[in-house]
Amino acid sequence: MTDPRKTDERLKNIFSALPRAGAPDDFEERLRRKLALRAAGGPRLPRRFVLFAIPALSLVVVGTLSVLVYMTRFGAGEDVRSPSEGVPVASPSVVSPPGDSLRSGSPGVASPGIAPRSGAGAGDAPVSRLPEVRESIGTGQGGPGAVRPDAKAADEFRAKNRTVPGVFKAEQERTVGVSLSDSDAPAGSVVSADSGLVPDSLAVSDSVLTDSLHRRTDTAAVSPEPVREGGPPHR
Amino acid sequence: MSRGPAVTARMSDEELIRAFVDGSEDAFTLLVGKYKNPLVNFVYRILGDYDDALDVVQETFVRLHQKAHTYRPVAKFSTWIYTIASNLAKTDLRRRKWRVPVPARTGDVDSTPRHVFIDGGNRPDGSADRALLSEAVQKALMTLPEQFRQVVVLFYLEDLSYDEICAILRIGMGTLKSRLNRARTMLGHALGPMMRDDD
Repeated sequence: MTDPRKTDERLKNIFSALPRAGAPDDFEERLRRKLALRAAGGPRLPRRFVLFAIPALSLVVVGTLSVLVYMTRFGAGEDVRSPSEGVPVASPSVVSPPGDSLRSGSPGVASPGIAPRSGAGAGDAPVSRLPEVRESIGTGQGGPGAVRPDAKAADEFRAKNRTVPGVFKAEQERTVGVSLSDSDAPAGSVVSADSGLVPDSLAVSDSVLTDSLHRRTDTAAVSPEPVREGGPPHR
Repeated sequence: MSRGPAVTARMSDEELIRAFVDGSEDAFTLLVGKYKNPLVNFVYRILGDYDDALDVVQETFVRLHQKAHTYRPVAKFSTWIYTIASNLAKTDLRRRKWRVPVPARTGDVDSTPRHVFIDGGNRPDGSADRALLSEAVQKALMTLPEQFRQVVVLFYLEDLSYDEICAILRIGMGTLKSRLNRARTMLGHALGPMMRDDD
């Protein structure tokens, strides 16, 4: 019994004594019908996928309906609200302060009256570095009536340029018509290049001075860089 | 009137399949007639279910009809068609895991198994013993893992050589011998009383 050769022999005897199964008489006929059916049927779903066909079709139908409903409700564009947040999109009238907003890559638009969140509106700009902006936005004063930061920067630029001796000071005094600082000129008198108070080396025509002042003021208003002490920013 | 070259029953399998590829439907009919019984027997012993075996063999011939042009005469045609049948039988076995068995109703007229034995196995004259033996062997075969069962059927029942079995199952000679040895041991245990009777 344990001898492999004996076992092999015994198994051969047993299997040779077995009746052999065979095909029924109508085997060819059924095969012919099957072949004809296959040839005429075209592409068909394999049997193993039939089980998944109904759930898959249901998913497709539900997905299509969801997209249709979404498009019907939000696709027409009559509502400016963002469907995910329900917050009106901010108008571009409020501009983030020069510098940080541009550097951080945000579009420079903040939602009025809403505290800034990281990643939205204020971008990644650290709020603590912008105290005046944080105050104005955090207290809900960031609406259309709020002080524009670019105007503030322009004021600062003007204030700093008051200390510049010579050209700007003289020009500002000439434009305003009053003396802005202690000088040799009497109070209320107009100081110009022709007045003799300006050194000859700095004497330029009025039109050039005016253009220069306006250009620098505009640059300061939109420039992202801080105004350097003692002169206009280098470019 | 059939298209393609003329065919005769004396042609080899390889010539017949070439004639079928060239358009002769008679060649296909001859191949079906030659291989239907061996394939049904082989698949039935592997699956243990006659109707499933018939389905698998029919599908084998459908594949042959559709893919005959892919046959390359590097291997024997018999090896090729046994490989197709073996793969389809394996697929059927895998599919059974998901199939819910439907119990036969007691009042059914056709509830008896309709096995067809081509060498007198289903004749009533004194072949009851063979039918019982067939059933017992089939039960023992079904206790073997699928890979061992295939080896046993191809070696003992279909009487194929080692090389042919290796080609059909795409396994090495060492693997085949190892499987055959283990299958023998398992089958010896499963057929215990029958193995001891003649000692």
